[in-house]
Amino acid sequence: MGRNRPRLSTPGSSGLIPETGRSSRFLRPLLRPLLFLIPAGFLGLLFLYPLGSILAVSLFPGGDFDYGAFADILRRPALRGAAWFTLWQAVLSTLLTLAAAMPAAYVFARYDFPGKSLARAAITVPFVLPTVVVGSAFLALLGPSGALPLDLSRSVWAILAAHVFYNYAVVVRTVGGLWAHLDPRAEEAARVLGAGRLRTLWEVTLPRLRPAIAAAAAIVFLFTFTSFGVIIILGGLRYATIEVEIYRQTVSYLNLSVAAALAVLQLAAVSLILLLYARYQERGIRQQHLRPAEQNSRRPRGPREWGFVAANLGFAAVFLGGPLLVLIERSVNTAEGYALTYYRSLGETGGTTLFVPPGEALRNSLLFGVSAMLVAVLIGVMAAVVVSYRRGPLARGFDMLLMLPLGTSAVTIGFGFLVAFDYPVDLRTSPVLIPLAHSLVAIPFVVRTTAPVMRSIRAPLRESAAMLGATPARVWREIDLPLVTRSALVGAAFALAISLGEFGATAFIVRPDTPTLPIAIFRLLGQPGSLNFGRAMAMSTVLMVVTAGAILLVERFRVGNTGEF
Amino acid sequence: MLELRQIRLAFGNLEVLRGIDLTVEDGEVLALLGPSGSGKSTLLRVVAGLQRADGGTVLWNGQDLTGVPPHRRNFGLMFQDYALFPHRSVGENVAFGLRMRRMDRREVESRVREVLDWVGLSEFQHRAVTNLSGGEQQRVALARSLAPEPQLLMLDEPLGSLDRVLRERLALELRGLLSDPAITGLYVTHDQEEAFTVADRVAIMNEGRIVQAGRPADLWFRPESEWVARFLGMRGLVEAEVAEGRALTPWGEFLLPEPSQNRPEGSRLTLILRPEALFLAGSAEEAATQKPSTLSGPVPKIQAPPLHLTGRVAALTFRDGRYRVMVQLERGPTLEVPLESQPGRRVPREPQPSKGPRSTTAPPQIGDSVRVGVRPELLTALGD
Amino acid sequence: MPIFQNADQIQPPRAIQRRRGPRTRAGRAGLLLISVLLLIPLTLPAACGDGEGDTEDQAAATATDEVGIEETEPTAEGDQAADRGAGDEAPDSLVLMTHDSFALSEGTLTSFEEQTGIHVQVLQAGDAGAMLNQAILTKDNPVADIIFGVDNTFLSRALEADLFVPYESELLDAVPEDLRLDAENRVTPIDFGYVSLNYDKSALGGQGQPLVPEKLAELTSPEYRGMLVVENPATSSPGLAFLLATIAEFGEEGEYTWQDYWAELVANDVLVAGGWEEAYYSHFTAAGGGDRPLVVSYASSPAAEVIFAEEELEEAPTGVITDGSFRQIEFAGILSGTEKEQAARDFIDFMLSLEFQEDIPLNMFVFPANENAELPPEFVQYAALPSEPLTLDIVDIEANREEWIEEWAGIVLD
Repeated sequence: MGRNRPRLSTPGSSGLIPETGRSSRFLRPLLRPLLFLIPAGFLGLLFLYPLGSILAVSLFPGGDFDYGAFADILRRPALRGAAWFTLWQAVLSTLLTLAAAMPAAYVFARYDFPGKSLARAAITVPFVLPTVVVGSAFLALLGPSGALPLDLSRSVWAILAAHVFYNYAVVVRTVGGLWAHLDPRAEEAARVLGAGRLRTLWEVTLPRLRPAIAAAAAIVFLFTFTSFGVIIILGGLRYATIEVEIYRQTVSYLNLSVAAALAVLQLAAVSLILLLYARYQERGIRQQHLRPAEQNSRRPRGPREWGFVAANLGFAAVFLGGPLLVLIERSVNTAEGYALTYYRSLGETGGTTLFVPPGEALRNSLLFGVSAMLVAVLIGVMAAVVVSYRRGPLARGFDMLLMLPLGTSAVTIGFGFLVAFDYPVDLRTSPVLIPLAHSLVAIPFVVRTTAPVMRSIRAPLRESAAMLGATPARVWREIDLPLVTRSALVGAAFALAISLGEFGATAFIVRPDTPTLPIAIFRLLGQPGSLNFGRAMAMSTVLMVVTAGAILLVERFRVGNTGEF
Repeated sequence: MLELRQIRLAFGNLEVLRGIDLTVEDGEVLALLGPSGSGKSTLLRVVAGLQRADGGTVLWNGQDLTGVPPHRRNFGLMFQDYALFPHRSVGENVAFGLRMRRMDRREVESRVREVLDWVGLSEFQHRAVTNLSGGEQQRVALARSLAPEPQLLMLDEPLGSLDRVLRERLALELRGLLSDPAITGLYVTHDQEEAFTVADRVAIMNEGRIVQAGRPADLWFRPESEWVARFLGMRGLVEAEVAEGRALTPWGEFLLPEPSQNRPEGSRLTLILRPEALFLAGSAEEAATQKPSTLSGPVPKIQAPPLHLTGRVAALTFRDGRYRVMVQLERGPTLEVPLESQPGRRVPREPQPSKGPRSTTAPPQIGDSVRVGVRPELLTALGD
Repeated sequence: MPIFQNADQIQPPRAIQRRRGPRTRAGRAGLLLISVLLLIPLTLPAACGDGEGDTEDQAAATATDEVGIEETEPTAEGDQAADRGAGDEAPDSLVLMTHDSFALSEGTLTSFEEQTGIHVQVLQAGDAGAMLNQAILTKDNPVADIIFGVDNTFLSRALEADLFVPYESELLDAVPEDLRLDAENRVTPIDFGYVSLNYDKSALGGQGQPLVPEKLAELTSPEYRGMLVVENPATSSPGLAFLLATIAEFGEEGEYTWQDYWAELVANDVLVAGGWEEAYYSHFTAAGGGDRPLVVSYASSPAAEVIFAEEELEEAPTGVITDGSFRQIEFAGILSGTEKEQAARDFIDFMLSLEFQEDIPLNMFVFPANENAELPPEFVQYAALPSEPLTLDIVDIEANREEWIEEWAGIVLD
């Protein structure tokens, strides 16, 4: 060790570091409340207000509360049945998705293999595909004349399979995000102490992953609880969720009060579940030693590990890739054999506004997608900060509020926008509402992917940074931000996917003619003719490729010079 | 100079700090020593500004630091588990504080190299901190804390998680690093050896109070309370009554140390029989043949102790090159007695069971009856 | 929802009553206030909280800018609302609310703009049912000046909701009387189409194959067992039209009712799809990998099959069974809140003009309402024009729609 330690010039006569930044003195007292107020205001304005508006309009016809609508729900066995089916299929879908995707989450977190980042982006692709398209692929495989010898098209298994198909990535990415950062030495210690593989998994790994598993389960549950398109296509007549009933009551029967009563029922159920989730989740908060993901993963060794990796990737390839391949195959399977006819003809709109030029659809999709992603990440990260650093009923309530849009009927929100946003400024038909509606659905993803990691950051890290002279804002930028970047990017990728797939209320928002890729697909599928079908498949393939590419790009993003984690 | 005045803090009903007064002079390293839960780490956090006190003031060079946030105090804090930033390399960790002070990039670069060189890690600049050994991490953490030249360096159990050998070595290294040039430091530990090695002065904390502060030797030789003495590991505490310059204790009689000899007859005091004040004075059989000498005149050392305690060997331990004998007193507790090793004579490889008479340097055997002599000049009385 | 058997007993449905609810601006401002107030108890403690979370300012700083952007986002529609307020003189734009299937040739709306100087902005509002709901919900402060795409299955509801300003276009003379369902001309018929059974020519009528059925009633015969796919009337517009066709054909009373017919269809293994896309592209043999040669589609579908074939076809691969076709008429109406009534009338006239009417078939695959409009050759050659289409009184449809669908579901499910 050297003996001479050179001195720096002493800071300030007092020895203290002078306050830096003139504006910060005035802004600082405002910032912390803003961190809460901005997401809260966003949700209040874009979610609670329209929701309250449409429910008030629907449930207080003539100014009096409409008890009849609620009595109606209770009286009709079909509606009661829908409520029960909604619940059990959502629970079952969530469990199945967890079971199918947890091993893959492990594989992505702990092993390196060729094409890993591409595979990770690819499993998110199902997320964006319109249910009409996925439904047709599922029918092609599982339907009465499908490729597989079993007809599941009218069974609940087809619904469950589609739900797993859609939500597989949610579990892999949310759980895998935390898993990748967990120091594997705890498991190694447990193994050395004599715990078997399963016991280690059960007693060491799963408890450490609990926040992420709970988060993923909550998202999958809400998604499947409000499932709509999958149910309509694969559920036949026998199965209907509350969401489907709300749609039917609204659009087919124009029965707004019953629809609103169902929406209240749906909200109540979702709130209850979220309350339980928040309580559970709060108990699971713990700070953990996180390590860079790069250091936790390695090449598989030996046939056993390679086999495990291959089995999981194989499952994903068959289960997720199967339906996607059907679509791709159809997009090139023309009357003259395999050719790119459909792709070439995508640009030919035949002079009718019915068909959207692919460039325009792509531009609109990306524009909405990127805006929705930015809004969702900004609001979502702020909200995650609030949710992670605060405890108690208020933080819990706020957490619940953040998740609620995911569990709320799209019809209700869409109509809510229409009723609410005409005053003081008429925004009802503004295209701005479209990315905002998407971000409303995407924010829970950002919060749920970021908050578990944020909560895991140990206080001493932040405190050392402060002791080294970092202002609170700087601490956030230097410590929290880089540590949560990767998980925030996972959230961002989902936000982008949600918007590219046109999830949520947008189907029920009045919009100016700004066709996106899914809308272009819908319009092609709306007309008979083999060319239209082929072009719809080609457009779906374009959507898949764009999604995978966009997600790859998003995840390559790194925040300035803050290093990788 | 750091001054703490009447620092008080409670978490709910639990009083963690109960009026702490403390001063750390410039260039001095003060160790806060105490059992876990004594409030020493909390006190550190109050000084750092990470924890607001309920009452009292923290002064730096006379300036009240209340309301000055941690990042403006220009203090360094090294955490128990180092809290290295896992997403940054060794060099980036060290550069952090310099960047926060808006130092020019080239200066940062050269300063990082300087500091890493100083802690002996110049090869490690681009390594990931998550793959370092405990000792390496500790040095990175130290380099990181010292790089920005904090006015005050605080270390919270910096060696706590290391193994004993490493801890002893690093404590010495730390001592060297902190004394040249002299750094003002506040060092929290529960290990007295560490505290005595590293610090110029030690403040012992218990239950939210500083029970005694002083130079290591002062604490060691002049503990002010039984608690401090016991906390410092002194087991030979005994109540004594003064009688003719001798101490009458339940364990036996022995001579009083000089300062206490003037005490009035019949007064009571607590004496500390440290290991170094004890010696093995031969077997009990030998003692029986010896006449106790008179009380007049200076007592010759080692041989012919005037008074002694008797007991049996309960255990033998070997550490730092010498045997220690645990003697179960006939009328008292078990005390540690060092076994003198005499220059030029090798200590036998193993205490051999032998039937014949043994040399005094050969360790006695478990179960042997022994006499324990007391050196009055090394005896201390509590509160002296 | 109570069911009314007779038209004169119909009470205003809830969707219409609701506008007497808290629809005033004051009421709405109150609701907004309540939503914001709800947040205050959440906000205050957190804002004043003295937590450890000192480290959050950065995000807030960035986010402030973001919200700033949102709030100041230019609102084209806001401007239009202002335009609408500018009075009836020479408006420069009209807003047309329509369903997602609306399409025209690219130059058609431009042509109207060139003729009148009025730019038409198209708002798409989901399917026909969703669109009508949205029009009703925004009745007091409409988002558009004209609505197009209300069909006869929803017309009664739209008329009850009092959405429209009557307008009798001079061009209505060229529209057949039986298309003009509203005597007061609150809505103007623009086009019509037929929901008809389509069949796969390669699977029926050939050697060794069953004959092409000519009547609805034949579908219950064992020959056609497992051959028919229909759409769920609860979630699909052609599905509802086909149900209405069977009700019109077999009636509600007598020995053999529509319920009996459906019970027999079920016994004959009819397949119910959620929507037209699924029925046509996933289950119909002529269009993809399906196994059902009979599908509920449109009379114009064979023409589309020819036009959108990959290679030129001499003959359509599918045919239409004209018996049991249900006629859907699409109407346009001027929304009563508009302040551009004259421009809206001009646009209704334009919609009935030959230029617009002759543009309809190849874009929306329905027939123009104007008799003088010339059909494109593909339509003449391949689309069927059922001579005796079925239809039901719009008031009956409105009164019974829900009950019929529920009853149908009961039959099909059991």
